[in-house]
Amino acid sequence: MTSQNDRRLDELIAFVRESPLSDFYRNTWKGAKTFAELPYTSRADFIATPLSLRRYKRAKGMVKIVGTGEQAFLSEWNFGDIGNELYAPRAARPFVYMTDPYEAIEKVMWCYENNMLPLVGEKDPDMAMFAAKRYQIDSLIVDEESLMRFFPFFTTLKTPLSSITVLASAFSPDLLMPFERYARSFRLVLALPETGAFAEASLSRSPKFTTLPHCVIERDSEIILTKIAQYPTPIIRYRTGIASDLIH
Amino acid sequence: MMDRNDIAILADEIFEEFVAHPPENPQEYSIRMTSGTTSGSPFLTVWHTKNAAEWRPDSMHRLILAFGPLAMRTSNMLYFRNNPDNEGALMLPLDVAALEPSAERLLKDFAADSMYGFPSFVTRISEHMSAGECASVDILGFSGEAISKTLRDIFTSRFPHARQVITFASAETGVISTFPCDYLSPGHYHPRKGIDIEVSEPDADGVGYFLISKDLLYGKRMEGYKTGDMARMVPEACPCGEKVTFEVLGRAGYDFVKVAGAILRREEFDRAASECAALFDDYRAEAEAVIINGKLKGKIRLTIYRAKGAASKDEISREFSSRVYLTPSQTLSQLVEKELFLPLIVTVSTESLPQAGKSMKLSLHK
Repeated sequence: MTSQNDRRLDELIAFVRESPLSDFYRNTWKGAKTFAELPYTSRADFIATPLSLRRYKRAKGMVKIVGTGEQAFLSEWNFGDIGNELYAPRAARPFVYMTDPYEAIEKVMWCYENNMLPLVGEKDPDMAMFAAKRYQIDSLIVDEESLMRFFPFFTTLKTPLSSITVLASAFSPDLLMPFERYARSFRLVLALPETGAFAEASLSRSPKFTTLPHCVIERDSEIILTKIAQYPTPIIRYRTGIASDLIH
Repeated sequence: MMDRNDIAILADEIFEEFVAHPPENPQEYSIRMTSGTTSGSPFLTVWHTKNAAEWRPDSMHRLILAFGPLAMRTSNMLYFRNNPDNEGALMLPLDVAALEPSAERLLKDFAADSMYGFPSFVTRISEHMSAGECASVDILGFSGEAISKTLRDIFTSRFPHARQVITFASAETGVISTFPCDYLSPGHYHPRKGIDIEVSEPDADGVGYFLISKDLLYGKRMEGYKTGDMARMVPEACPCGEKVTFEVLGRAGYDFVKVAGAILRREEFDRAASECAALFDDYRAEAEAVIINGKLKGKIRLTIYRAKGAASKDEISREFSSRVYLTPSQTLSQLVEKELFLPLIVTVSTESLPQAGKSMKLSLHK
């Protein structure tokens, strides 16, 4: 970690520890004093604690449902925080096409926060491809499943897109490689709905991910993530469930 | 007078201009696609945030958005983001199609004080809310589907403290009406600023085709667009001071009706009826949303005429239900199996069915 990151991390810990708005972390941290002593958190904690009890700030934003069934929980994102995520390169006419509607809406808002005018693809691939063609999209923000369904679009493409960004918690490079020629930049971004983005890699058969700024990665058997950002529910020593050998 | 094809051409011209000369403030614009479900081919439309429905943000701090198309959810999320009067408010753009039992816990956690969306979606959401949670809702905003008295009564009973705000809008025109004043009866609206309305070819009761005129982007103008609705102008001035009030009475020609979240298309009913030509010669269908054991269901009554034939009502019901598609992939029979619709009710008329003027083969039960 850089000294600047150290300082920001200390500020984040102090912000959370002293917050009058929520006891969520305070209750689990108890007497832990240093960052290294803080216990891990995980989705299980987010599921067990209603959003109303883990809100550390009050600002306008959107709420997503993450997960399904008994594993589902609410994740709150302020618009400014969404905009600060490093999801994709800038583009003139980005197209957002994702299987999870909450993620699609959030990424559309990310485009707006970054002064871009996005188009969102509806679930039906034919409708999505019709819209993408009409808008003459120049970039794509997508997940793997949606990219596969979008394949016929590329057969009509005259010039490569400026970028394709695939957001996911796991990737299948072999499935993605055939799409490489359809964009000048092909980026893989490790992200979870509740944490946002935390690592990126260029597409290759064995992508090497590098940690994004303001993210602290620790390695257990899985990636333990801290994001140096004051989110409504901060991400501090969070078990991602993603194998730690994925990150370079 | 413009029809949907004219609007499609106009929208295409605007869209081409929009792509060639993108706006300097992208946060003020959203793009939507008309689905093409109800008629014609889809086309893309560009909307400025000034076209958003008028809200009362002072009582909408925790808003559930309940629309189907993603573009409707994202554009309303953008309007919400851009509204300077709702600092600290949260919006949950609920994916109603994927609601499951766990939603009860999450909806309790979110503690909505307002909802805005399709009436059928709001009904489905309410099935996952306790009486106490429903009682905490202050505003129900509706758009996109007709609301029968039955539905209004259901909302009044489930959300006893909620004001029902019905916005009149269409995919082609955007929002047509203002936030309603306290004096308007159901189905009555004031036009919002910048929208000119007209009723053409009125009958003796003043009921005719509803026409909309409004300025669009890049100097284009929608001029006398026939929305497909039947309406009448209300001659009296409203006590609120607004001079223009109009009443919407339903769809012209009844090309489709929306019931319980499904779109029933007359064309599809005609097609299914043609496959049942051995069973009956003509039909009229009337649909409505009903509540059975607290669940919203669609109900369709098919009145048939046959010059000859002896098939039983059950047989006709079975045959027609298995042939008519209410969604792109599901027949009425399948929706009955899923308990989203009641079994088709068949009535046999011994006399040929009325063919007068604007008589409707498919209509919404009032």
